[in-house]
Amino acid sequence: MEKKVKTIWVITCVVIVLGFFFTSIRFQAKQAREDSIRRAEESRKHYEQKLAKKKAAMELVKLVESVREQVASGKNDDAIKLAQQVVEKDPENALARTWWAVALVNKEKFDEALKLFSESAGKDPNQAKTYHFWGLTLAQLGRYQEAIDKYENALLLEPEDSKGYTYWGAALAQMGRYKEAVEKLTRALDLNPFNALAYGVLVDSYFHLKNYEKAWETVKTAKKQKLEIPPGTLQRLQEASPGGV
Amino acid sequence: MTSLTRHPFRIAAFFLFFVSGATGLVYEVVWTRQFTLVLGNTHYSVATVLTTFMAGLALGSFLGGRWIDRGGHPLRVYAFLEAGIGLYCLAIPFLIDLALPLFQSIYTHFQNSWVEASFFRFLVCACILIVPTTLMGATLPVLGKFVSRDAEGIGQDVGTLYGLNTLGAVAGAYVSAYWLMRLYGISSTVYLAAAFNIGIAVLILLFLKKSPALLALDNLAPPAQEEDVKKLTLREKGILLAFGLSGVAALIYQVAWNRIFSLVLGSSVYAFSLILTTFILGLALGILTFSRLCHRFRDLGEIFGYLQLAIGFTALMALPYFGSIPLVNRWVYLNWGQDFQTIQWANFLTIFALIFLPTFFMGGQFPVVIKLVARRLDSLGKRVGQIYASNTIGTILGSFIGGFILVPAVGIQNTLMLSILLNVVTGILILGFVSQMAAKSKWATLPMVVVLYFLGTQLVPAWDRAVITSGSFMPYRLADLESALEKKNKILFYEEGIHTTVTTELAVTGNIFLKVNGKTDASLAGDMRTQLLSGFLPMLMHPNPKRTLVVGQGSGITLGAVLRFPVESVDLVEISPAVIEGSRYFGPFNHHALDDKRVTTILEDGRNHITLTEHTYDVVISEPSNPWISGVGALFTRDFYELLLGKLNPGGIACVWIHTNMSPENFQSIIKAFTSVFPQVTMWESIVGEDYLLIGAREPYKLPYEATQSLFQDPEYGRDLRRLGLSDIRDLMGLFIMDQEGLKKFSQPAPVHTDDNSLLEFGAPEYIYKDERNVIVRQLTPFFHGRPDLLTFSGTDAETRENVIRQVAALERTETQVKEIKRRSTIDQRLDAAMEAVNQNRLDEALRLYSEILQLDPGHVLTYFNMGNVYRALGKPEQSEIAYRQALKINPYYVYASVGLAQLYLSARQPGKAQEALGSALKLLPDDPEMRTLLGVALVADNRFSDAMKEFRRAIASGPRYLPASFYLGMYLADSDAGEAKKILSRFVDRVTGDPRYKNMEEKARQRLKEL
Repeated sequence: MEKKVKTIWVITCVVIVLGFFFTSIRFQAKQAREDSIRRAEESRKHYEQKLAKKKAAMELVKLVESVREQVASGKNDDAIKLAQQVVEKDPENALARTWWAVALVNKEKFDEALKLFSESAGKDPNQAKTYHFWGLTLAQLGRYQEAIDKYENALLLEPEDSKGYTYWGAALAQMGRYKEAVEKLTRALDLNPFNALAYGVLVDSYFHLKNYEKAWETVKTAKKQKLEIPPGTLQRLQEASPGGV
Repeated sequence: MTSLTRHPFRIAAFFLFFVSGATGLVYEVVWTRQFTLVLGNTHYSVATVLTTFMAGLALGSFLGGRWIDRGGHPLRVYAFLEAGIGLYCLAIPFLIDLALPLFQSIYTHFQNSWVEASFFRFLVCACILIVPTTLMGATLPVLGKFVSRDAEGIGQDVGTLYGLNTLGAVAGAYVSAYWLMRLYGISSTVYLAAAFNIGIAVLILLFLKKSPALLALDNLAPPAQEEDVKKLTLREKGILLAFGLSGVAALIYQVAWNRIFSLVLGSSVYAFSLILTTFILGLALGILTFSRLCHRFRDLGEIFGYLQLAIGFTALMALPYFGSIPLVNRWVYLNWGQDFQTIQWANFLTIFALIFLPTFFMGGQFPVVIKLVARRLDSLGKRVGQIYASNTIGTILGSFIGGFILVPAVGIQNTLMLSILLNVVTGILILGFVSQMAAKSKWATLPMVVVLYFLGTQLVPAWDRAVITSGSFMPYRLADLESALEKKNKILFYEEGIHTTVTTELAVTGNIFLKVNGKTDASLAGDMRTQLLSGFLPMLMHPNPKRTLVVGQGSGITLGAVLRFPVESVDLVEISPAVIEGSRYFGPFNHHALDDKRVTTILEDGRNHITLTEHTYDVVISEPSNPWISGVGALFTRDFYELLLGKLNPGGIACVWIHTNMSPENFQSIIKAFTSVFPQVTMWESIVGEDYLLIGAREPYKLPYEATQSLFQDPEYGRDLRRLGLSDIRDLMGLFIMDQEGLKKFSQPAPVHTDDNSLLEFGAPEYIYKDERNVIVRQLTPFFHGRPDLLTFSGTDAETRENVIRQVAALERTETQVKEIKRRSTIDQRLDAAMEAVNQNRLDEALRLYSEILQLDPGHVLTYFNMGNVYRALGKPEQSEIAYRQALKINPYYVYASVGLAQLYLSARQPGKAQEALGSALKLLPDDPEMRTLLGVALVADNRFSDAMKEFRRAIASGPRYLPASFYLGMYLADSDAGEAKKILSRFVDRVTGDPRYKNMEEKARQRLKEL
């Protein structure tokens, strides 16, 4: 009898120990798994929300694209109207404001345009386009140093963009800082050897630096790329240093 | 009686038991290896084998003791036990093979119910291992009965016997890893151990036959009767319980020490073996010493209690020093050199210094408890069995509680603290209830012990996470230790999981890296190209991959690359859940691969999954690549590749990533294993001298030109590749080295790598301290040829096709690599030059250099951050803000840019914006003292003084070494609480005096102190 009781005790102990062993493992494993599942779920939800937002954003992108097209085709008033609609729908939209501002520049309403550029950059400081047009507008108004600041911003966002260096170089050339202009324009041509505007301004800058040899060399390279140098620039160069190309 | 004491065979019996201890441990090591191959190299599997092993020993000692007390010749019984062990152990490898279908069916049917799966696995293991382990367990009480001839000398005799057995285990642990398995392979090791067991049996039986006098001696003790055996008294039960609890504590220590040592000394097979060896050595010496001493003690109860306290307090004393092991490692490399043997010795000394004393006292308990509980010869066997069983059950519980509950729940250091507490409490209870101490002295000493414990724990500082995970066990990563000491990196994620410790760190360069047990496993730098290519290459080569398996998550970059293709499902097998969590910080770089609905995460060992799964795959990618880490070697053997081939669908492709941190011969052995299984193989060199990819299949495969080109033109993935110097098919084909013909020739001289010889497991750890990668590169070079025939074209016009073929045929060996190396070094040069320009205040020049870097790598986070700083210094806040934001856009976890932004906003008097910038960064790193301090400053600027003070105090609490927090707290507190401000500022001044970094602050603080 006593032996039986002992056996029962031993079995009970073993069961308790094993039970403890496995329930605790279960607890641990279950918790780890649940945590993992929960995190994955959260992450997935977040991702899905992001996707939904992306979809809505895509529609707005299309609208903004039509604003751009209207600006490009000279329909500035229509563009402004459409941009206003977009901004009503999405008050945070930066690009619509940028194109709106460009349309205003085309209508020579500079002050309003500058205000809009600033608003656009405030909404989204990551749009290189905004800074490009903002800079071009400032340059148009002769505010070259401010324009250069904007090109610098654009280049931070798109460091491989040849346009940024070209505009920067052009602004420097306008300010008479030809040496610096040459550096920026050379960089622009490194990035894009088919940049016609950069060749033109570079030739002009060399011309002002009286480095005719380099100027002619640049003209030759442009010709090789089948690009035209503005006739005025070329004529000036011819006059100063005949016998180039 | 005296005749036996003098009989030479009694001495021989002690020696034989030493040998049997050695074979016992050899079996344990070998079985763990063999079972982890089918159960997975996880803590669960190791615990399953260990539990079965221990349970068998406990059962054996319990049953053996009872049995031998009833009669029988202990020596003869011992001989039969040894013979049984030897014969059975020879059969175990075959039994494991026989059980494979069982394991497979458990894996398939209980994949979602982990508890049942574990239970059945445990059951199968138990069925296989219970017989030999029970036999092993029975040997101690049986032989104990033989050597003990005198009730007075019980503790000494059995203790000495057990001590020698444990010493044998020390030899077994050492010899198996450093000698037997390394030189002769696994099977031969088992044969040798079995031969020893059987030899012992034969020797004893022969001797008994020749010397019948011994047999007669053997029978001197009268067989005990059941009713003669006195029952355990309450006191004895208490002692057994205490000994059981001590067993719990012992294994908790072992688990926790294993974890911390593998973190600071590496997770190679040698490190584990050294820890085990030292642990058992301590035990053995403790047992032997106390066996000799215990008859001199008057009150053994008191000694038992003191031993418990000694274990606890010696472990507590050692606790802070674990955090300094990386510094010891550095000292060893610098003063003793980097030779493998020297470092093994140094590691042994480190481990010995820290754990010898506690383990010594642990061992000391055994003879004391025997002497306390087993006082009569007639019931000796039974009592020894009970003692052994109580301790072993404790150790089983301890291994389980330590590994599965405490370490993941409270961390390694707190686990050790709790274990120490358990020892201290047990010690106090023993001294209180078991010892014969006078009541007065009890009241005088015991509360003191409690106070001492709490004071002691207060004095132990928390280990520095950055330092312990700095990977200081690799001499070539000493720079990481330096940056850890200087707190250069930010720890984004730290988890001491069930299997491993995982850290995700952010460096100021913008690189994020994931470390497993201190070893960097994935990052955004260096091996990024391999991570992408191991996904892209096999997926491009398979015409229509539907089901894919990726082994190892790492950063998830490979998984992201696989998901770029229209696969139906991807099984991701990752052994450690903590790695999955740690890898979430790579989400922005792996295209949020873990969130993709096609991915199924399986938390298993890769080898185990491939062995047991019923699924077959079109593409299998195996990423674990650090061959010196214990267990990883099993993913590079012929046996594994055979399993892999078996799981491939027709037309299926397997891709394996191999490192070069090994001997050139081992490198060839892996290739030989791979080519001996896969008929069609190509080898690609992702990073010269570092990372290689082996791609194998049954049928021939090619690289489709159009699909590859479309990958390069992909706006996101193409950009990823361009950032790594791969912009077209020519660059990619420049990485191809050779196909199966070349590989067979290349690997011919080396032996094939198999599970049995485990060449990598034992060979690769030496190459942590040695570098022969240049030899591998030199050996590979003659095999390189441009191979346009590997490309297939469909739809590309003939002119382009011919052009591509011509270009690929004309490729030079190092063309792609050199291009990338040049690009990287140009970036580095520009960075250095820019830094010099900044130091010389030529800021415009620095900006020019930075913009050049951005043209080479538009995603260079550090450059944007530096530009932000330079623009801030130039007083151009608009540009500075854009630069910082660009850095954050590329790497959303780059908190350095958030700090930069906050400083920018603060100088522009926009505290609200500064708080916003810091708020998001503090969500990532809530305890960062620098950011907390800055937030405090921003709050002061917002006139929220009390909140600001809270932030400063929190900064001081989380980073006492970050001194600016004290400065600001003192300065701003001066108006409201001059007394405290004075105290804080004078302490600040004391600490920073003479430090040029804090010169300005020091002056201001002195000024303010004068005013106060």
